[in-house]
Amino acid sequence: MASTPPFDPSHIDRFLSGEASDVERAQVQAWAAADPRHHAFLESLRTRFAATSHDAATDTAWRALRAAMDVPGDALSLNAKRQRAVTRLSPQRSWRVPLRIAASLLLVAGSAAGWQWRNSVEDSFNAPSGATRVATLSDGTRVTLSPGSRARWRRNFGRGDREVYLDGEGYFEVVHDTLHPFRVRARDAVVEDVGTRFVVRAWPELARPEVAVEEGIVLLADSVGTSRGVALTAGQSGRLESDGRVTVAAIPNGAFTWIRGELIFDNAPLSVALPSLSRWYDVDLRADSSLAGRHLSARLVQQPLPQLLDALALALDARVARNGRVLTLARRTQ
Amino acid sequence: MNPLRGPSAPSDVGNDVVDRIRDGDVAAFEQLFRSSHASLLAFATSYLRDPARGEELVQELFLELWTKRAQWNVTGNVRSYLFAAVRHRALNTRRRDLLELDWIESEGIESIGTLHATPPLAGEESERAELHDQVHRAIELLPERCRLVMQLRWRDGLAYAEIAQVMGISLKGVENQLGRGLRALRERLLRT
Repeated sequence: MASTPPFDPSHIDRFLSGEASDVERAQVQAWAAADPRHHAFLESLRTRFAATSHDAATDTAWRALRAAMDVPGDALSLNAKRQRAVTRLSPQRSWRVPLRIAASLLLVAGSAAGWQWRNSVEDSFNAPSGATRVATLSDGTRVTLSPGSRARWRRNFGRGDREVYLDGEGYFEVVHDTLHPFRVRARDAVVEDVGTRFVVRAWPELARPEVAVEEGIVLLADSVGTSRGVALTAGQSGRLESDGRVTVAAIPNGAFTWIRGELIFDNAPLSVALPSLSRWYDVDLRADSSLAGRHLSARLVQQPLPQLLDALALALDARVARNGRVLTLARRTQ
Repeated sequence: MNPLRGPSAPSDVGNDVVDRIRDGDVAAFEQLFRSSHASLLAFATSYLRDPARGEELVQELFLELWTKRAQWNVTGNVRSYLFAAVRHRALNTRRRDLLELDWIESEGIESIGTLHATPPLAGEESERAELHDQVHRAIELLPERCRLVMQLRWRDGLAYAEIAQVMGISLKGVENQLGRGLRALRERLLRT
């Protein structure tokens, strides 16, 4: 059996930049073929550093620049030209208002009350409808967001306590650090952890925020601080009630499966299931009054939309009417 | 030929475009912008973490280029010039942010985060994707300068000499960044 070809960084570099000779390329390919992890290593580098053309929106950018170039008179400062260029963009392109402008608005608004210049600036990321997103924070903690969710944290994250503000639903794999407690704030809940993996669910349509712990321990409390918090260990889920108490139960089916692309609804009311599916598929799913009070039990693994609709129609004995992006389910009449 | 190099490859843009732009040729300016926009945007976003601010930076750079075109001159190649200009502005922007935010970062320190899409996966694919995820995560934990050198080399197809000029390091330094980076990634991969 031939021995594994050696790992040669300079060959791999030349391979990835397209400069490798035939011999070098064959050596790199032999190294990759020797072990699936080698192959994944190479593929990962290629995908990570691949140029993609579709997300640069060069056309839009050129139009904005061209417009800014036309603004007459050098009396106009560069600042003003840039602002004008930014505002001429098509509304579909979601560029935020440049940070400096937002900051000065903040100044003006606060001046009556005695302003503070040092507004806290945050980093954030979000998952759009139809896709999950993962981010790694500076401490190594990994956050996976379910579609439609957002996570925010202060710029000084990691230098003091570690706090993340969550809208929606996120899976947290927290790096252990006893000196710097890690907290997730979602709706009126505070989830404090030291080194664990857990999911926080805080959708507006849920009655109350919920936490499910996969590994380790978290403390669940309300943000007002009525109590120290209830400890939840692996296999437990907690629901923060409006009076600050925590109801502990077993982890519901599907609490963690979404991270790997499997959706499970276990007798879920449609008022919760349909918004969730809408976010996952980036559609607008509704039910009319003929399905009021119905619940959904279903397991969906990577279903394309048509199969999803078939599954829903079957489970609910309903039909689907489509009006643009809105899909309405109604009880099938005989 | 670099199979990874995207459509924005200003390598084909010769220095005569500088002369044409100096003379006020909008078409030449547009050609330069279109051929380099995506690469420069990706580079700026690597520094600033925010695509909106990255776009703002690239726009400002080109707007200033145009406004001051009468005096514009480039020694060396245009592509390196543009990348270096983006880097210069990005570092300045971060320095200004630092003063406002009391936040310490330099090119040598690890990054704060990464964004990559993880679409739902079928069962068989999940193991391979898990490996990918691990490597992508490991890449994000590399020192920033190392990652940027990799990006310029494998995404944008810059030569060693160009990377050295853009990043303000020596040729040997470029080689070291790539070699050490790859070795570090491999070590991390084999440890898991």
